[in-house]
Amino acid sequence: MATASKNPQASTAAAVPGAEPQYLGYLVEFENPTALVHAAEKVRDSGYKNWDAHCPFPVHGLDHAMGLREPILPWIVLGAGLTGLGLALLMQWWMNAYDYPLIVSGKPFWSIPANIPVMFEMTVLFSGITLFFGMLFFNRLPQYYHPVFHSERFKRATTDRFFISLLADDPKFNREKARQLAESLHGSNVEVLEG
Amino acid sequence: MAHQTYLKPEQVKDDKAFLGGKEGQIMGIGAVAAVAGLAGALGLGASMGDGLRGFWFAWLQGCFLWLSVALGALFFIMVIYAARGGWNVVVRRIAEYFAATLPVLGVLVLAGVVIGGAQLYSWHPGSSVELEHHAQILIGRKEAWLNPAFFAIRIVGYFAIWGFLAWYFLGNSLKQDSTGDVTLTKRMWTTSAPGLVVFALTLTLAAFDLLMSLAPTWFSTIFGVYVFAGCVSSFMSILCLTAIYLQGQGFLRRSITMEHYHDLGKLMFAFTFFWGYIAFSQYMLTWYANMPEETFWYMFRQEGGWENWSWLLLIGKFIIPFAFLLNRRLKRNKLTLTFAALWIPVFHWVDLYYVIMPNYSPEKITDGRMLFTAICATVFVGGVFFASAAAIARGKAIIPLKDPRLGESLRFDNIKV
Repeated sequence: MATASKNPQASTAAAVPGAEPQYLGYLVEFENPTALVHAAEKVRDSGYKNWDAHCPFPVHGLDHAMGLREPILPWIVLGAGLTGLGLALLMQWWMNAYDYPLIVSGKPFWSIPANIPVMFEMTVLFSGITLFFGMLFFNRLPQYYHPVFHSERFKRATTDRFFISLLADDPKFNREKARQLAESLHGSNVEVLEG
Repeated sequence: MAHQTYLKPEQVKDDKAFLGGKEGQIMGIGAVAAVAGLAGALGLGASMGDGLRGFWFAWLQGCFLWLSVALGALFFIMVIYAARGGWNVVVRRIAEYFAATLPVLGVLVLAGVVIGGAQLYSWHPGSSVELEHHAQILIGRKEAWLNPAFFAIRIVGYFAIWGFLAWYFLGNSLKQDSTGDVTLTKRMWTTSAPGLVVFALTLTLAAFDLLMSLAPTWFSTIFGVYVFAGCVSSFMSILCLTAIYLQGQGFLRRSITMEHYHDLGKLMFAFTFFWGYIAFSQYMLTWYANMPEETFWYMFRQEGGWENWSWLLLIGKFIIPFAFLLNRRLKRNKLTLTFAALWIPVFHWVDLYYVIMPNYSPEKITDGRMLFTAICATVFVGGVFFASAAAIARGKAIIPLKDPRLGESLRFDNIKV
């Protein structure tokens, strides 16, 4: 599931019992990934910012159709990997050649070939941890609330249905225009999200 | 995705899917390159005044570069079937033609080891290399395996197996072009798995025989994997270059897309790293154990000028292509990908030179004449390789026309940026 922009925070969710249901946005349902990608292109070109596509499996071409920017995460991971590489080298130099020099099987105190496996592992470790938590951070996960959870039909997003949600807290959200856009997407179902 | 229209499988045959006269041109250029390369290698080899010893080392070097490409192609085909791959169908036929040249390369390799065997291999009874006493004893123990007759039989055996596999897959794939029979694909799914096992064993033994036995007292069990890593990365590169060349000539313009190149680039990257991993594994165990019967192989490569060649190999075959191909954009740009695809086979060649040539002159790095002899021999075998591939492709499609997964391959899409 790719996140297009900032999602509403929990404050919009607090539905007061008995109060008028709050209007949260539109949920459009599609039966196949092709229809989802076509619709995503349309929403992208309409200029909405706070919307998202939901699908049970990764759909090729959806990132492009949603107009997502190239992620910055790979560069951060590269930096983390190089940090791990450098730290591993520094650590082994400090331990083996500086703090407590020890002759091991007649090799010089500081032997690069012996250091390489640890450098490799530390590079992978730093990259992997950064990638995992970076992915969570940039996807704003974990997320315990989302307006789409008010929809019964949305439960099929994890099995066999594809959805686009247009959320009402978009600064340019106009209820009438959003309705027109939602209906123009040729989805198999259009639903108003309330909660 | 929506704005791009993909070719339908039945439209592929109209996408200039036949060489249609071009094969004559390729065969002509290949033949000229082969003759010129052979003449150059013979002339330079003779001028070294060592009774053509250097020439046969260059011959082995030239053969092994293109043998790597053909073996990488055979591996690629079998892996596609074993994994039931779909994206790579549009480039599979080119690999099939590459692999089908294996019998031709076999003739060249066999000629090299039969005629030049005594010059190449110090275990050969006719060798003039003076061995130390302990080496003579060690080689004597290995005589059951390392003797000219059994050696030649094994080489014939390896190429018979590879040639059979290559032509089995090409033959069935060509049959499918006319019948469109899906059971052919299903049968190849099944046969590719034992095919890969046989391939792994024969490639390992062939690497031991042809390259490792140049230093007959040395041994490294990982050596076959080391050679294999170079085979696959250089094959992926040559496949990339061939596809880019063919598309430049107007062939398969809409069938092969940037998505396929991107994935070939990923595999080039993966096997570059794999080579580094294996090469380091081999080096580190030898370095750490520090046993004289193993370390001498590396000692030869760290003295007398060979140390510069070792550094060239480390930087050129691992560090530069690794850093270069890390970036997605550079893999999705034809110009930068072409650069990487040229770079990698050149450094596989440097790697083969590093493995082979110190056996010719361990004390001091070979001079420029040896280098140019090896280049000429590589041009010679390269000419033979491409001319044979084009001759095999004559009148046949250069893309599987009726593969059941062709449609999937045509629509193949990586995540776009």
